[in-house]
Amino acid sequence: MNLLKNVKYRTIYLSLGILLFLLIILSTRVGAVNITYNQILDFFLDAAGKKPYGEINPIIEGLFFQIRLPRTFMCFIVGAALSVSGALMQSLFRNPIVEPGLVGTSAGAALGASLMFVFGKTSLFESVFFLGDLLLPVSAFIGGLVATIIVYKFSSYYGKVNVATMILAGIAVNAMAAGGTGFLSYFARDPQARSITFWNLGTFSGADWKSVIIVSISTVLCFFLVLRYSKQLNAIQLGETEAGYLGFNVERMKIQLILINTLMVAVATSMVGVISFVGLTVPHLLRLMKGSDNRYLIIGSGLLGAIVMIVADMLARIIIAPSEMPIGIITAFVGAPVFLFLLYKNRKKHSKGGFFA
Amino acid sequence: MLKAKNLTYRIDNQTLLNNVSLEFKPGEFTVIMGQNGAGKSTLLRLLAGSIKATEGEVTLFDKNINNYKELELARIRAVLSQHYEISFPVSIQDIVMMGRYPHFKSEPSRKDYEITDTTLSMMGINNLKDRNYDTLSGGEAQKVQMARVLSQIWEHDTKNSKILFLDEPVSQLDIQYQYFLLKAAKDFTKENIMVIAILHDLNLALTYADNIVFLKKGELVKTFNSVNEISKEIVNQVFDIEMEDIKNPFSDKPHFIVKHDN
Repeated sequence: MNLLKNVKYRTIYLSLGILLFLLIILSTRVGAVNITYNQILDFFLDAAGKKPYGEINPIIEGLFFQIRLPRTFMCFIVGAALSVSGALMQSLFRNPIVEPGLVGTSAGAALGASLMFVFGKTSLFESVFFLGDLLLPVSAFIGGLVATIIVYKFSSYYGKVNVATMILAGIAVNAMAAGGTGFLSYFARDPQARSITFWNLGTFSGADWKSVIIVSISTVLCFFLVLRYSKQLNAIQLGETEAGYLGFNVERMKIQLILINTLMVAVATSMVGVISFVGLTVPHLLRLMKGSDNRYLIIGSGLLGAIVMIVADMLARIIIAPSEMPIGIITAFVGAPVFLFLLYKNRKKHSKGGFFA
Repeated sequence: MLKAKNLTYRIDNQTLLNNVSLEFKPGEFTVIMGQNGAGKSTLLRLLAGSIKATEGEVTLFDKNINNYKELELARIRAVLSQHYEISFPVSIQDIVMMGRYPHFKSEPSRKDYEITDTTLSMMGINNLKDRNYDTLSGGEAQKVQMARVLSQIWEHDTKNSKILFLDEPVSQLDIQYQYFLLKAAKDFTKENIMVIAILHDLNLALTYADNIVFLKKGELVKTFNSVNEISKEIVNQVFDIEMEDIKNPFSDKPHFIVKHDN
């Protein structure tokens, strides 16, 4: 089961880190215009005020710094956010087939964000400087939280979460939220918010430094907060009552973690749309590699999630270049079979009847 | 010393436990018995501080149990439940180390590893350490959980005694494991650990218990401090089934069998 059983955690993190670094460089190269390594080196020399080796093409330099680089970092951060969220939700609900895209968090956040696109930007808030930038994540957070709470309330009974009900409630909430964003997209003036595919399948094409910074702040903050819960998340695998016997206040922890999780997912979703299945797949790959310790899963999800998202985005750019497809198509193609595989593996548990998490 | 004073627990206008008073002493093995729905689990959860009494109070070393911090309580009492379902692959070592969670912040110390090694060998499962929990048989799994809860309260350097709660710990185990686990629990009472267990097998309880508490419909029927005083009349009354006392030829303790044509 554990492919890397005898490999140290540190070695895994280091290898993933190196791979991530290489992919970041590779990802800034490929696309409608290919950029060479020499050019990249020159751009950095130029930016640092040193003399570049070759001729600088200012258009490609602008493309590199203003489009490619923020886009790659956005993939990094969003991939990490969604995967850490998946690891966190799977542990919290004690079930391998939970992730933010399935239980409505992402769709709710998208609805909140699109509401802001339609009404927020036309109202008085726009005149207040920087508030406009924060309103989008905030309203996405509220939307994500409402959706999560609805799904959670429907699927839990005396603290036990029935995952079958959770996924069904997730379908309903996802459908409602998608209907809402679809409806609103017809009223939006913002060209990106006008696109239904953007909300349903996500894209990194709109990434700029401002949005990268906003998502980075929330993700890095949430990442370190979640890391502090790794012991609790391990203990809750024994059951909520048992985690209580180990000295943890489970009710408080659940509320705090749901808030952190929603913040992380909502801010990311408000910038790039709904991207499903990454949060499902990445923690599962990590478990296959080496066990289910939550500290490892959280750190590993941060790294591997970034890697997976960067690769998926590169594919989205390459496959039909010079045009590009929504990244959700790629993640669904890879992630949905993983979802089916997990269902298949867990069918013994389903057949027992209750299928309580 | 663990004391329950006039404990009453109600939920949704239903009284699950009514005015129960009890006392538990260090070094004693107490078994709580009664029919399904008699209030055994409610009583155990009240005593373990996991739910709050509607009326009355539980005091542990003369302090109300609800005034303990969660972590403080976790260092002196542990609870072994009937069955654990774990959805993800977790190694035995990691499960047992969870018992040490109340004692360390982020990384376990050498002492924590020593303690888990000790409890693993006490349960005779040191060789399973690296196995995944979901590959174990029910009996092995319960030994692992026992090692975990023991690790939780395994500290010799405090003056106060520790409490081990067993909530139907052997209901799903075969006979050999039932006796193994209860024998182990009985041995810990010598270490000044207070053991409070819910059991369904009356004769198993008679073999190991110092005290037996009988509950019926949320009320305390009687507490016996010597199992030899338990008569078939009281047993019939508690369980609503006619039993006969044939003496256990090995221990001379009472041994109850159900009458043939009940």
